[in-house]
Amino acid sequence: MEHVPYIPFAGPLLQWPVARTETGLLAAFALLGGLTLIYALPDIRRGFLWAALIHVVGGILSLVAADLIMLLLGWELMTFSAFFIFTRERDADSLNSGLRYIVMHMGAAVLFFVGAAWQWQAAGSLAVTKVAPGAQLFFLGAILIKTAVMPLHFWLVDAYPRAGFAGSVLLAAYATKVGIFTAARLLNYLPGGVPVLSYIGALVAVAGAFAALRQCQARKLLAYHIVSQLGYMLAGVGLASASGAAAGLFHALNNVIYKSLLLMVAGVVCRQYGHEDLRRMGGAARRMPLTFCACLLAAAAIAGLPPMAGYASKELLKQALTPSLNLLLWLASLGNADPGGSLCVERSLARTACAGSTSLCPGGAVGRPVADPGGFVVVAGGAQTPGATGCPGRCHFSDGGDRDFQDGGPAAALASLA
Amino acid sequence: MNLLPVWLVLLPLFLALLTALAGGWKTGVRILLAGIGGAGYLTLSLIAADMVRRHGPLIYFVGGWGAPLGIGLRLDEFAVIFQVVLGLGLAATLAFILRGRGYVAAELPLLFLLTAAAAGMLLADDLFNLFVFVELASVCSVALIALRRRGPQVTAGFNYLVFTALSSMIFLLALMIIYGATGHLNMGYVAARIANMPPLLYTAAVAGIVTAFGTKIGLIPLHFWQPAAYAAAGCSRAGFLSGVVMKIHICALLRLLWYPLDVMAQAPALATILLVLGSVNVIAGHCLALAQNDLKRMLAFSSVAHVGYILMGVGAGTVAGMIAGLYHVVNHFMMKTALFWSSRAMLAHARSSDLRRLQGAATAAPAAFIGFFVAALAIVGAPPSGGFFSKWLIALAASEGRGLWPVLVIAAGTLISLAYYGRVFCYALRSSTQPAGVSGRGSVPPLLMAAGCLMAGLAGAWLLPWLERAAVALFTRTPPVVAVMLRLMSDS
Repeated sequence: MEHVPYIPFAGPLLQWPVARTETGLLAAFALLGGLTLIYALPDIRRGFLWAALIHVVGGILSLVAADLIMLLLGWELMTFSAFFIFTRERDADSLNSGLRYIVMHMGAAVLFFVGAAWQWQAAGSLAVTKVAPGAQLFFLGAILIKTAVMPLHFWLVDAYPRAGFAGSVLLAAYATKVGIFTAARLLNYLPGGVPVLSYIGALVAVAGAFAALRQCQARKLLAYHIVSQLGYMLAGVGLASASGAAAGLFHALNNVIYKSLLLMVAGVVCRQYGHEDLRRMGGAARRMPLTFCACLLAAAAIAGLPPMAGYASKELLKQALTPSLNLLLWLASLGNADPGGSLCVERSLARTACAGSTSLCPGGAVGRPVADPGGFVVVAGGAQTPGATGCPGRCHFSDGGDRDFQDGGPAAALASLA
Repeated sequence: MNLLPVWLVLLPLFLALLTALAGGWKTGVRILLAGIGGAGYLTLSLIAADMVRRHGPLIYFVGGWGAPLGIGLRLDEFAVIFQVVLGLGLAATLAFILRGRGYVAAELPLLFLLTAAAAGMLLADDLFNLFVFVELASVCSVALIALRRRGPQVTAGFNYLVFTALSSMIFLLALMIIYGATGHLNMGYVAARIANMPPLLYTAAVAGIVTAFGTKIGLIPLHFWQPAAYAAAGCSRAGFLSGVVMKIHICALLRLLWYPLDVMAQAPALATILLVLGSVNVIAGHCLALAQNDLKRMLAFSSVAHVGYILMGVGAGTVAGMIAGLYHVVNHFMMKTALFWSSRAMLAHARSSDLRRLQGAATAAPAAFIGFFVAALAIVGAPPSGGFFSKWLIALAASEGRGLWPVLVIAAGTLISLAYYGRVFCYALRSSTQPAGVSGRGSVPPLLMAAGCLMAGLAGAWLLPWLERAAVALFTRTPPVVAVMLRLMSDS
């Protein structure tokens, strides 16, 4: 067929990830898909099951795609399955926010499409690799939408709290991390040597954390915090260096684990209380000690306390950032300031969980039964976390390509721990 | 001599006659007749496709009178694609109509007559017969549009009649110019002498043909009859008119331009003009569709936009572009029939064609909604559907050597179309207290079409060689030997 430039599904379509961090992310995706389905068991619906399965398949496909079209297919599978996860309630509000969501993401897909066409004209191939500089502009636009960078974050903050509890766990794990992964795979163009994407990411990391501070709704807070965490990852992958990409992806991998744990906890607690207002959740720690422990673990990880996974990846990020340019010192200082911010966020969650151990909350449905099947799954997920926190660290550390920035203490300490 | 081409026209003519005569008989007899007829016609089309694949073009001279005086019927590699679309479209439409609620008795004969006319348009090898079949198709379309004889339908049908009569006049004028300048009506003989035609007359003929067929396929600004007509025709008939008959007109237009008029050699600039016209159709059609609240009108404007995509592919002026355009023809046939047919059950639930009243339609008619959803994603251009790959191939072909703007046009169109199809999903998914009173009858054909949209993408590697052969045949068809000799004689 010498006249047909591109034949659908004809070339090499899939590739196994090479780097350890990527394999780890893949494993985390697969593991979390199963865990979420178990977590969703108490109130599962057939529609949700289908949407969740398609979402998981889309996520995994995006990681193993060898062809830009397959990558786009993964993105679109995730977009349209997420639409059904968001619009579970079938009321006008959630449907409108679902529509905003798919239009935004179709915008990303369309930019992707143009970028792919540019790449085709420039290189004559669609292999998933660093693309032509002009095409990177379009891919960058697509990734900025996909990863909810701050002026474009409204779809995420708007949509995640609308999904079911299990749905938001799934979305937090998959939907945006794929954007980070794509950025690490496709982008390496630094206009004038300045890592623009890193700056954007660092700014978003700070702004997202402070925006999260102002939230009182449990999942809204977590949604803002996802935005902030995505900023960290972008700051890493935006450096376009091997160490930066590895650190960003490592952070993404850790984030998949602890953020989904946090959302599972939030789901269990909110389901118990029947509302999402953190200010009226006094006594949660005493009523659900196991869940609380899991929450503490995840919160420690997200705040970057040693020896948790979040600490390791944030340290690696900072090490990857500092030596590159003088300007990046400023950026790294922002990065340093940010764990304080995330701690504040975590504190607000912890405070509401444990401080008000008196059951004085007016109107809070405190009298509801506390033991629930979901809690056990959370604990199971929580039990995964300390193990998983060590494991990716070790994987990462033994990844020979990234040796240069791993002579620092923290990572070694982590490795020795693991 | 192969009799198959003539049967492709005669069989639906007989069926039209039989079903018209059977008007007073029992419903069962009519259904049996139509069912056997539809299946038979599909089989005949597929046999024809197989024979063309194996032996090359099928040619039949009516009465044994050879060219240039006799009437030739010719089924070549290009037209056979459309013949298969026609066969599939007829069979699926019959299945949908006969399984549906009630249908008007005159519908079956009209449908068969329209099929006969469409087959004639694909097969005619001389200009005058082409004109006759185009006229026959127009008359049948008008009758189908105004079939239920309600006020707005009659108006829409009448409007269509007026504009189609105007376009026929222009078409006839163009044919007269060609006949006057070349002295022939047989396409091969015209092609042999077209190089000698005075440039002014040639331009006039091409412009006349593009205008005439532009009216039939909804080229902006000649599209205005279309939304009203499709809205009036009702979902089942609009699916056939937009999904199948419009494609047949595109085939006739392309065959005229490429073969007897030989635009690629005589006026290569026309390709770029088609590309620009197609881009205008894409953007304007999608924008107009976005502004609609009536679902059927919205789908009609979407058809206007998708004619634009096909013309963009064709306007690339290369074989690759023609293949992409043909791929989109096949895809759009399935997507648009699936959309029109699945919207019937949803609109029956809403008791109105206003898409803002669709709430609860997804729960009341789940099969219809699934069909609509899949077909809409395909038409918006989400992978792995055929709609995505044909847009992608069109983008690659049209942007070859022209920079990125055709890609940007296609991308913008995709985004706008998602906005209006997404609006339909949102209204249809909305929960409502209205009781579900829709029967699930007739949900299989649209679901099959929607599955076909997906398959067209997944099986693209199987479909594309076939389309490639068609496009190559269109680009490389040579005038008959006798005609070349005639040209040599007149040149000397």
